[in-house]
Amino acid sequence: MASLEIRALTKKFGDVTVLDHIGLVIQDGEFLVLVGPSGCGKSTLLNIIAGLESETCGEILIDGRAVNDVHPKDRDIAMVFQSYALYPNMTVRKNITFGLKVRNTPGPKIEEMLAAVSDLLKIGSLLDRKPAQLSGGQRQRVAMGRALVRDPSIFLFDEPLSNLDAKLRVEMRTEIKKLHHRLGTTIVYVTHDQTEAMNLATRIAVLHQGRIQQLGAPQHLYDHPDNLFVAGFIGSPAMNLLPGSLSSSDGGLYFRPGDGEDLIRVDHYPFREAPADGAPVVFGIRPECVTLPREVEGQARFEVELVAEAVETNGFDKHVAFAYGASELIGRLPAKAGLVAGQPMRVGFDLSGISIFDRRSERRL
Amino acid sequence: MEPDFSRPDSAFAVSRWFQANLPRIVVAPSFVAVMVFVYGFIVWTAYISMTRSKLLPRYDFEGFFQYGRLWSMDRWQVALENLFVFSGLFIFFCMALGLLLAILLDQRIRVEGALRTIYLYPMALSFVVTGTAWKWILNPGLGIEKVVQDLGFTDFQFNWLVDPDLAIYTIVIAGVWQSSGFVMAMFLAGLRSIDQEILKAAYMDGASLPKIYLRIIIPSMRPVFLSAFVVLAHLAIKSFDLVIVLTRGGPGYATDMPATFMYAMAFQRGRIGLAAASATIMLMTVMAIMVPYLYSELRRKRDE
Amino acid sequence: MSAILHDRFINRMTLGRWVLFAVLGLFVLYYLTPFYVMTITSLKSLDEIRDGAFMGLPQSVTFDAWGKAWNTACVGIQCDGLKGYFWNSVRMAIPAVLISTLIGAINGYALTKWRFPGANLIFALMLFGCFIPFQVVIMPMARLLGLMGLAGSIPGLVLVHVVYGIGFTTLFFRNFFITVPDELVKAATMDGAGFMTIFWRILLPISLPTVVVTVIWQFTQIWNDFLFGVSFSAGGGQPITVALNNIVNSSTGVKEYNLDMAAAIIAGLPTLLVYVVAGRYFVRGLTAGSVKG
Repeated sequence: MASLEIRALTKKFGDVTVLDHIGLVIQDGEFLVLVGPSGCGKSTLLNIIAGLESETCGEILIDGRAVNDVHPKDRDIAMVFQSYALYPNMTVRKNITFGLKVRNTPGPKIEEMLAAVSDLLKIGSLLDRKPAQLSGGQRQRVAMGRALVRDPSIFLFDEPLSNLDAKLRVEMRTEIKKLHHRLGTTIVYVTHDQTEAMNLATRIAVLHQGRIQQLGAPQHLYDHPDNLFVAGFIGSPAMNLLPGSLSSSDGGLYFRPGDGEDLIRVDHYPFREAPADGAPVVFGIRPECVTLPREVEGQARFEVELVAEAVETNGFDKHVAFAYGASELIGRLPAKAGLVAGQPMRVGFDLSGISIFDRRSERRL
Repeated sequence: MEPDFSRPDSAFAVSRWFQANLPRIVVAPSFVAVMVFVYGFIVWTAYISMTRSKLLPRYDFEGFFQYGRLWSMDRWQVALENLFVFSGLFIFFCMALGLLLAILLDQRIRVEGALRTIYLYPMALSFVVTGTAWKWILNPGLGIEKVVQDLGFTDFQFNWLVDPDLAIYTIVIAGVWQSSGFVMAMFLAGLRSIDQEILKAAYMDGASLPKIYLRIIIPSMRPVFLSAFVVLAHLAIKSFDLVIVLTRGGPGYATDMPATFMYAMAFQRGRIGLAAASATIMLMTVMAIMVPYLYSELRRKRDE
Repeated sequence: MSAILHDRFINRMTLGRWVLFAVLGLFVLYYLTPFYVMTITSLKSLDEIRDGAFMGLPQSVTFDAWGKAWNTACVGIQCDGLKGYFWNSVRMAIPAVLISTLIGAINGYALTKWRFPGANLIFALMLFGCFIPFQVVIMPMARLLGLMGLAGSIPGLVLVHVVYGIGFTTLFFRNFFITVPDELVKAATMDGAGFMTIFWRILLPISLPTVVVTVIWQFTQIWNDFLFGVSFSAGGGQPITVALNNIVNSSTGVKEYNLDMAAAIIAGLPTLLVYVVAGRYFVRGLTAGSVKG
């Protein structure tokens, strides 16, 4: 087990800056998920931590020791790859023990470690098969076994679940979570799937355009996104983002969406800095806060009549697309809510968990 | 244990450098070999072609004198003319036969594997071996001529092999027989790689089978035609073995080709300057075909 | 052709089906006839060749021509048959095939999995070497072999075939290794394996089909080569293709056609055998070698 620190890490490919002054401190035993759209640099960052790619500048410290010039094999790190990267010519047993053999681990010790890992991952019956004879989920387990067997101080996961079908992905997610609880090893996990990130992480780092947009606990990111990118990226369906402006009248502070006439009261919103009157802002509200008026509890509420344009049922609730001025607004209504597409209906906004962003800087106000 | 990189340990530094550069080190011998044996030798030959070298190389630069001599030689003119006739016919018949066989084989024939094996086996043989067989078959007096005469056509004559005007066509016959199966394999692979959904769509649109072939399948195989053309042109320009075995360039030098011309000048006539000039022209011809092709192939790969 | 076109068009036309088979059958005859003629001629006596039917089966089968071709046929002035030349070809082909295949494998591995600056340029330069007409290098090669004391020797021919085979072998392996995910090498690096360990323990074992394709391709090329053989060898050190040509084109004495045919079959048998046994790999090599990249 170990802590990991990244200091001012920059990576350039020619003129293109892939990672821009990344700073991260990952505590011992933490499960950190690096999440972001494809091309955001997350896999590059992981490869640099592993030592598979070199940094342009910056430092990587494991347990306080700089490892920039240390060969990957000496960093005490193990990695699970997206394609699993199992050696196709070797049996599962040989796949798992290859790393130990290359390091000249004594035979009895290898057997002991292999037994422990195959017990833990329940792959004892697969040991003499070749990767081609395994299902996706089994390959995933073997890939993890190969990483686990070396008992490394840090685990790196590079999109390990993206090649699995939806059902198996959920299963393996739980599996990885349990494994982390049991072993308590530091994990850095890369994914583009924000749901996976939310489910697994103790902390999430959202990466975009080579920079860390926000770092924090999953719930914190969900409730208090630091900027428009994080607001749009975390959560599914995504947060509704309505452009408009702030205005104060009758002694209250209101949000006026676009060129509409509505005034939504936002007095209760904990502004980080006092906003100017008429400031152009983006108003963010999660779909679950756009629902039937009777579902909304508390004082901070707003009601409006909207037309439902499309309704998607998914069993436990309904996702409804409303036209609101020039924008579209997604709401989540109870499954039993009777509504017809094309009909106007009363909709309530729960304003207790809104986010407001500066339209120019895109930062949270 | 973590090695200490700050310590100036020269043996360790060398081994570390060695490890880091291993990929380059293993490729280096091949790279050097290619630079010397391909590019160095090309430069040598090109330079010799601009000297008055005869039996032994001389290194005094004389400009394009050998080229002028070459172009004024009747034998070289005949060689070029032969190359032109041979490549034209060879490429045309190989393509036509190859495409026909590929389309026929593509009709879900149960014994396709066996047929393919038979059509393609000449490609596994040396031109020297197949040339020997054809020399016998085309033999005036005992070969095909005799077969037809035995059938009752006693006046039948087939002496192309020894006729200076017709001997070149015997080389075409043998060459097409040897290489057409290979062109078939290329076309068959091309036919098999066509998107099946396009064919279904064409069928739904009501196209007939010949129309589907003419309008959709064959046009979409343009890259295969190009590849086949390049491979065949390359084979034609390099053709040497077949000519030597079948006719030795004769009668006289009636079936000489640039490749045999070059060989005769270099190793039999002791005129290496002239041989170098002809070899350089061969290289230019091949490059004129290969370079644009490779360039477009690489570009296509990059675009995909 | 797709199942749908087949079902819709072909199955309906029984007549068309018969025509199709007839045409395909004619082509079978076209391709097999030369081989048939070679075989029957090699089994006939010289008298029967002169008087009997050209296409007819031998009236009395005799292996005299085969024995003579192998043991006593005259190649130039020596009359020891083809056997010595056959073994020359074996001694030339086997080391040349193994060495060029191994070099190609390592090159392909280093150029795809350890891409260093200039790797693509080096590959392009090697690839171009596959396409030159060899006439442009045989004169300097002959001089160099002379200077190295390798002129007319089997090791000299091995060297030539290795040098000019590297381009193709590298191409084959590069095209295979480029399809192997880089993650495999990354995983092995994390496991602690170095450049050579990864090659021997992982990449070479998984490239076995490519090894087969390359070995077959190289063997066919080298065994069938004539230009290098005739340019760089002399007397008893010649490969079998050159010896065969000398027998066939010798102008002295009575022309023994049965001997020529037996000799040609002997010279062609090894590659033919490889083709029959491993035709699938042979075709793969052909198409990989032609549809470049």
